[in-house]
Amino acid sequence: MNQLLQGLFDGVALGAQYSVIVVGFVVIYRATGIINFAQGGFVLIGAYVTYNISQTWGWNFYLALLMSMLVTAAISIVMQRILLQWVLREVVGMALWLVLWALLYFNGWGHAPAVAVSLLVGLVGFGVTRRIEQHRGSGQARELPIFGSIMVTIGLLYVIKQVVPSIWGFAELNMGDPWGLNVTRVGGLVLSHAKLWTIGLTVTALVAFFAVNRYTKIGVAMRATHFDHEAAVAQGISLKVVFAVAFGIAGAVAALAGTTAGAGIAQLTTNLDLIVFLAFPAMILGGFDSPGGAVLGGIIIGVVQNLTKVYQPEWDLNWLGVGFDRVTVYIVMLIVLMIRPYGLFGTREVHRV
Amino acid sequence: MNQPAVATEAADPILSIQNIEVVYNDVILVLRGVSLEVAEGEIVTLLGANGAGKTTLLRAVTGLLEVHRGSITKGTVSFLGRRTNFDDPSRLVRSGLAQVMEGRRIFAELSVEENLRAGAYTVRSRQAANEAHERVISLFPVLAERARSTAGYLSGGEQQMLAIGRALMASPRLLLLDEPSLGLAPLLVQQFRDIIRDINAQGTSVLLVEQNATMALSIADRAYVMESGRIVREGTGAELMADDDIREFYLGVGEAGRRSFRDVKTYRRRKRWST
Ligand SMILES: Nc1ncnc2c1ncn2[C@@H]1O[C@H](COP(=O)(O)OP(=O)(O)OP(=O)(O)O)[C@@H](O)[C@H]1O
Ligand SMILES: [Mg+2]
Repeated sequence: MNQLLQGLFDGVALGAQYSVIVVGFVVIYRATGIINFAQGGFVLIGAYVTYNISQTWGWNFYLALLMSMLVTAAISIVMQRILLQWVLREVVGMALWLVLWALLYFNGWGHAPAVAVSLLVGLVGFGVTRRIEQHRGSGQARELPIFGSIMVTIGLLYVIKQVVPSIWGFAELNMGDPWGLNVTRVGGLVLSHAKLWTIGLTVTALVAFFAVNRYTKIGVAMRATHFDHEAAVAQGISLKVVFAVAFGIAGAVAALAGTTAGAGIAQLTTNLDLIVFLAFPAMILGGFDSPGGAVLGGIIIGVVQNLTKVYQPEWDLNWLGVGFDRVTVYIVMLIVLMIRPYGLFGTREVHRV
Repeated sequence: MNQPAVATEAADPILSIQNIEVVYNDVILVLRGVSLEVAEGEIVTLLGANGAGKTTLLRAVTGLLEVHRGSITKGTVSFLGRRTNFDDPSRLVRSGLAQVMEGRRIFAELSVEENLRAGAYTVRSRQAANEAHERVISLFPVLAERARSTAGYLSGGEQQMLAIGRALMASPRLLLLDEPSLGLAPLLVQQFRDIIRDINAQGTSVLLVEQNATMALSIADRAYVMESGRIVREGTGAELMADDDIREFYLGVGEAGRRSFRDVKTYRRRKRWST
């Protein structure tokens, strides 16, 4: 009994991290119709920025976390503006950017300077095409092109995965969280402080998000945009603002997930973004466009994964392999999809017109 | 809040479209040199068969062409004396232009109240939003009764009221209406006609796109008829009402045996809704 409860608790704490990551995916998907594959990169950035602020600069950890959420949100918004709104739309700018980056990189430049220089040149190219485009509307009412944005966000993920270690190195780092190895024992249960805080902070963030989405003007605008993007534009809702808010929220929750995932017993490594691979099944489970489904999907995946870890040795199933907990997650996802092809809470048509 | 339009300079058009051409996807020429004006305080109606380009004309005014990969390749659109060819929709709404789109396009998953809030997105001051809300409610009391219902569960007539109410939340100087009578019972059409007249009387200029010519001409100060992307007739409501061709094709009172445009319309409609 205790073992089950323990497994559930640890699973929920793990699932909480997936939940916020999935909320990030879902928010962007709902607003823009694209999947932001760079989300893992923002998890990484968020974790390292928290590390930097709390360890290198010596700030209070919670303040560092808050700052990191803001900083990551800002980076996410800026990246969205540059890559998805500008570069994507201006073919010349994007081509210049990619070609130059490749040229510089393969000629022995470091990642950071290669990215910086090529980005600059790409922006100039963008400016030129922009002049030409001026005659053809402001680009503010159009949706993001789906295919191009997949390429660009995957590209961005790879760039981030290079840039982060080039700044902070590959070594395992200590996040500097006040939780460390501390635990509280209740009955036979071992409640690690890191996990308790993970759950607490996640719940706070989710409540804040749902309140914004439900009650504020921008929340109404985001839901309206999701339902009918043209009709939203017709009301004067600015897609620029809606996109920015969505990417901002996604960036902030990514930082929260990254920080909690790298804290406690876990160490901060540059592989932290891999957590996203388990957030994907959670998103599919929840149904892609439902924030509530995102939370539930995340928790289910976390619990399933953790219970597998607990019971696999117990039931003599070690022959299934070390990483089997990551497989059960996908099995559960497949089973749910067989029964409910649109996920637990998904709306039927996933494609918008 | 916008000042009610007292027609001080009736000569000064609130909306002026000069000789515009609109192209979709860089190749499909849909409007071929259209000019149209709406003076302050007027109700102007635009008639035309399916596919004539009426909705396209409205999109050219509201900045929504971009959503459909269309663009104005020639001519100018000016709203309140300012050239607005390349304005984005949110700026246009803020400057006093609101629209009721074809097919209502309410946010069916949102509540009635939230739909109205979405309509007031560009309104900065809370007081202005509240005033607009009161005006909308006095026009459509049912929207207050159903404030918390999911908009998708409203009846067709109520949804149209919501669509108009949502547009009015921005307190527009000019209201564009794209076939508001579509799919409404005759009695309701009369009711909406009166409502449009009321809205106009309260100081909002109206550009009304309609296929129901009887209804539209009965309240219009002036009217235009569009065919294959061109304006082919223009005049006062009474003039067009008396015009033989108009009577035949749009009012369905032509010589017996000749097919009226209305038959064509019902057929095309069904086809459109099913896709
Ligand atoms: N997004 C688009 N891309 C390409 N062509 C389009 C697009 N939208 C409309 N058209 C074409 O432009 C022409 C005019 O269409 P529009 O919708 O403006 O007509 P309408 O007068 O509003 O007709 P209806 O009474 O059926 O609403 C039609 O031939 C239509 O096929
Ligand atoms: Mg139309």
